[in-house]
Amino acid sequence: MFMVVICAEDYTYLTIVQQDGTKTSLTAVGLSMKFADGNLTVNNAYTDESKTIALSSLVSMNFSNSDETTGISDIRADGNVGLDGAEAIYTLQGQRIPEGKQMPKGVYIIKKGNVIQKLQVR
Amino acid sequence: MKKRNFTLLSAIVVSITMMAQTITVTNADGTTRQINASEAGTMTYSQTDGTLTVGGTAYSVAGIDIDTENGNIATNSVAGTTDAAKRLYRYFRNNYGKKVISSVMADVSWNNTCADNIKKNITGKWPAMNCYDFIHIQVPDGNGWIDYSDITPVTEWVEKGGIVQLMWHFNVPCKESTEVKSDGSGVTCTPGDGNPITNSDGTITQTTAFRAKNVFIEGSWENKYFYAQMDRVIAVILKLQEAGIAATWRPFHEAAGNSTAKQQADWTKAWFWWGYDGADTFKKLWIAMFDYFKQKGVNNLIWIWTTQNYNGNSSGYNQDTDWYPGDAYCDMVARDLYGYNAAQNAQEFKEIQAAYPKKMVALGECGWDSSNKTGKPQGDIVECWNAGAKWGHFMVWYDGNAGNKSNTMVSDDWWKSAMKKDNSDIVITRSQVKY
Repeated sequence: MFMVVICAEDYTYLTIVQQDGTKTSLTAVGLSMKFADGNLTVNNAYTDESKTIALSSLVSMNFSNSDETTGISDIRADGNVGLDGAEAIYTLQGQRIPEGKQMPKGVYIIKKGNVIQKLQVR
Repeated sequence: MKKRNFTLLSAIVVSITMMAQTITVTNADGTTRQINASEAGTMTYSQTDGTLTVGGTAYSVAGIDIDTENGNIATNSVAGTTDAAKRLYRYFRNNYGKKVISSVMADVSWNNTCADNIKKNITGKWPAMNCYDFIHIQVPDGNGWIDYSDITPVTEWVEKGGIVQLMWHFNVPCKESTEVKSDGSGVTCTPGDGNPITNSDGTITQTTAFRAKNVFIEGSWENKYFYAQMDRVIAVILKLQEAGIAATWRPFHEAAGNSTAKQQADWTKAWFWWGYDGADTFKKLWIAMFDYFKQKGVNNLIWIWTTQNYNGNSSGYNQDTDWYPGDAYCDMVARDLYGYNAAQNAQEFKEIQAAYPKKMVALGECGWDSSNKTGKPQGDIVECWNAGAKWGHFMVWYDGNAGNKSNTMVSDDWWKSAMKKDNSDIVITRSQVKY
């Protein structure tokens, strides 16, 4: 016996990629995008998500089933990356990294004033 | 003991998951193109010429909408072209098959009374949609008891997040000479010779000599009355449209009445005048209304046709597919069921969806069987859902003599079950509505 079962599922997210590497994932179903006046304006009325970016910074969009949002430029670095201006560094679990500690490979969140950055240590 | 031989069947099951959103690309020139999300790939934006490449094709894109694919259900409403109508249709479509939109009838016509009862007296939540009826639209202005030109009940409902449904028990004078009185008397929907009839229980039913087929005879009293009343309704709907309100619209419901009974008899007829002259006249009537509304600038409605197979009795009645106005003239197909359990709801839903695969299917009206309130109630709506009745929405009918807290044709416990928190992933209430 041979059976083919076809299931239709929705992608969860649409991810927008900008020139500086920033990725923004928004809930896909219900999304409306307008390309006008030099901007891409994105709204999802069902989830209240919204985003406006300059078209001059738009690179691409893709569907995904995971939230790829970075909110900032990714930084590639080794464990001794210069962290000038960093007020605090956290793991993705929210644990603060003590100042001066060697960071193992992984992804961290850096706070610099009002700017939050994601850091990937390789 | 007899020895038995067993054959081991091995099954190879291949599961394929299709990623199924529909991307609607609107080009700068206003044309649209639909692409399946699974074929979109990485959509790249060209800084050189401002085009977006989707699925290998570059578009001078003005906008993109992303919606659930939902089988063959059309992505656009047949006549709902205002922004509010587009958003409302999209909301219904994106929830279709995933959740059911709760709804209740007004206390007869132009109020939110039953919905308020359900919230305040029973569940703490309002149904998502309230249904208003133009049943009294013919009552002369200045009557002192109903004023459809005051759209406050509807605007208040919408401002609090509710969805609007409009329907029309299109009352007509009993005879050409009958005066429509300020108390609402002199009219009916029941076809006959225009004289009242006395029922077996002693009650009186008014009848009308109004004939649908005469609507198409220029200058006939039916023709004049039909268009005059449509003008009155259109004036209200345009007022709603100007207020940014869209609505689902369910006119001429249950048109076939009993006429599809498999065993024909003198009683197997339509029970509303709009069905009395048969399927072809009915379809002409529907299309005449559809076209006239468009001509008058009504663009805020999502049209619902109500299929009638008397209380879903497929053993005693044929389907009324020859009464269907056509895919171009409605967005949803509804059925009115009274006294049907979960399994029966599921059977009806599946039959209707199979007959109308491009349309959303809804439970247009529901409640208990009037002849047996407790013995034949409307099935629990979540049980119906789990049994396979994936109605886009349900609408419970009112009953001022129900003797319950909602004044509707289901028990208070029915509403508690439908609206409880545990069912919020299936039943949409007003506080969940966003579109």
